[in-house]
Amino acid sequence: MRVGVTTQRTASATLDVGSVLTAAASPRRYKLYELELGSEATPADNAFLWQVFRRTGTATGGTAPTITNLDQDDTIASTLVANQAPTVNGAGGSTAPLLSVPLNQRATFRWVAAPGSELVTNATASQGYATATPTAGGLVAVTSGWLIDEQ
Amino acid sequence: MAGPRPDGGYAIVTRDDGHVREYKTATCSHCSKIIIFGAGQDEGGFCMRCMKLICGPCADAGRCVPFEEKLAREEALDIRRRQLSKVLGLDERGSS
Repeated sequence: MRVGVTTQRTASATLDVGSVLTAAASPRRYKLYELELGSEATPADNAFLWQVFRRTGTATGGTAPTITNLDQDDTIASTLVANQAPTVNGAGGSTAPLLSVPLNQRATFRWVAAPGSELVTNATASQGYATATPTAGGLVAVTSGWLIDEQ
Repeated sequence: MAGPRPDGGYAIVTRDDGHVREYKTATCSHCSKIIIFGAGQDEGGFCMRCMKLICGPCADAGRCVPFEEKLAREEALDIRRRQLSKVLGLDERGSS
């Protein structure tokens, strides 16, 4: 089933914008096939570095954004666990980014995977990905939009 | 000789003045790193063993361990760990 999630926070150079993980119980694989990064703050020339990291544990604090089924007729609820604006990042570190994009605050970035080239998680507990802004020229609202195919 | 070719993925950067720039992308077959072509980043290489695109660090490593194989291995380990936990009465996550 395909789902969409939007994660937001006031930019931080150390804390994730948001993460999406497999469930702690009965986890299923997911494929991240589209990602949108940007800022909804008043346009300004601030430098950002957006990165995507692998996460192997749940974040602490923050809130749980809504996970929306893309097909309204999909009656099965998603098992994914989404988090935004955490106070402590989930395990996984910040040394091996899977995506690294320098971006002006005025710009938006959209990545679409080719079929078969999505970012995939394994079907074990609390595995997933996080978006982060290790360089945040302005502490303004930033957003990452995720489109995911849950297996 | 031509370098590695994108796999059909793409990235679009849209500026606030309406300027749009599109880049071709590929995902490393060994580690899942997203390679962006034409953006001044390392464009990686090609694994002659799995015949797929790989990122620079994976090309330098010189080993072929496809990411799908890593996922399957981790899942198999997790299943074994959960089975053992259940047998020992230590199962913390129920019967998933």
